[in-house]
Amino acid sequence: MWVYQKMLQYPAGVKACNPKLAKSIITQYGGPDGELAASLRYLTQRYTMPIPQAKAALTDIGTEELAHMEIVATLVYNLVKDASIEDIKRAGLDGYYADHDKALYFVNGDGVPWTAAYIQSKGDPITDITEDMAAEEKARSTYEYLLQLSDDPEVDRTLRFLWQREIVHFQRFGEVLDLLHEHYSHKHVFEMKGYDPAALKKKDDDSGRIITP
Amino acid sequence: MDPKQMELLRRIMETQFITVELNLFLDTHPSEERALQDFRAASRELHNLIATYEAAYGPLLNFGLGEPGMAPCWQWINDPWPWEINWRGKC
Amino acid sequence: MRRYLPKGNRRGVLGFNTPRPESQADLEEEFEEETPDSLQEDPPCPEEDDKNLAPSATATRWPWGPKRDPSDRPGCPDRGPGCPGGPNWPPWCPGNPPCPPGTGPGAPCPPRGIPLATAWVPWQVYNGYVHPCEMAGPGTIFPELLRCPPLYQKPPGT
Repeated sequence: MWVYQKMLQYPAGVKACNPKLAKSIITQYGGPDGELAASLRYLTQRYTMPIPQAKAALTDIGTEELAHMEIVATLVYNLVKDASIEDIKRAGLDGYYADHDKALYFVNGDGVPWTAAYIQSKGDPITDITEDMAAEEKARSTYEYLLQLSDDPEVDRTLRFLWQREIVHFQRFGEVLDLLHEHYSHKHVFEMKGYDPAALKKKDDDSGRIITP
Repeated sequence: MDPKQMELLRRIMETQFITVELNLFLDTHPSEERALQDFRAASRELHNLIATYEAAYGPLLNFGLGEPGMAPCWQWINDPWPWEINWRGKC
Repeated sequence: MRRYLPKGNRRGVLGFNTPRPESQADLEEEFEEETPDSLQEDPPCPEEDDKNLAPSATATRWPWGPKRDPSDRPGCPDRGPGCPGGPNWPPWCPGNPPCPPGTGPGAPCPPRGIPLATAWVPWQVYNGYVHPCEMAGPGTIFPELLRCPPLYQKPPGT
């Protein structure tokens, strides 16, 4: 179960009000490669993992992504909270303001709302972990682009923290993948629906050898 | 938020970051003995820091996992909440 | 199509260094037929031509050429996995920590035994940690994992 610790994982802050920057940063809150997508993806994939290391890693990293989501929300909240209506109009946030005022909402940089289509939980552990590694790389790239867009040093150091975390998570998922390979290389009995080895065997007429895929 | 509280909270953040990183490392390297020792030491220090903070400023965890303290009112709801704290600069 | 393996331990970058056989007889002498157990399944080739086994100078059809040892990997980068400090390291990055053993420039490529079509990430070896305050950048306590953004440099002009 989850509890809440009344503390950010990193002292995130902003130097100055900047709603235009907030419009870009919010993509890491409710966008396709954002922290919400990451945490829900990992926390929902962990149920069908075969080895305890994978279940632990997905749980812990998923929980940490919720903490990162909080950090991104803090950035957006602080960038927008002192903005005047003129600032908001100049930043192109009119539409967002009409629906949400200065509140947070799960959208990407263009206002497209979050959808579960951003994540997948395929059930096949190798597929899931490979998707998680790709997700970490996508988040890393997004943080790099946000670092290019940002001119606020306080926001920069926070983004740099989150960027580095993605790299560390990628390393962890890579190690989980290796553990899964090791798990599957041992002779475990497993069952795949619809897979009938006998029906798939066929003889090679020339040599009499049996070919199995 | 007064500077002493912020300083203590910052130290808790740093120590907890160490335990989080070691936690993730140990998830995939469960038999790494040296990492486990380092984790135990960092965890002990974290518990001490959190106990100090909670005794002075109220619980950090909800649902009964944080120390409620002997203050006459429910301190969990106190401001500022984490997204309202104004941090400046690095360590 | 029958598969042939070269006798002995033949190496060569894409087979260009090995002398071409002059005739069918030369070819059959060079290569010996492999035993059925070690035969691998061939993907179906669009233009099977069993009769003409002598390659032309422009032959590009796979798997022509001597079978290369899996450890002969000309595509493997010189910079070992998992350690910064390679030639592409951004110049604005602070001083690099020393690389753990087995990584860094000139380190060996990933070990053989990793099958094809498998993603593989090198294992992190525990070398202790650095307090977040003393790290050269935020985000990790392990110097081996510390990087500077951007992780990969785009070519100039993009």
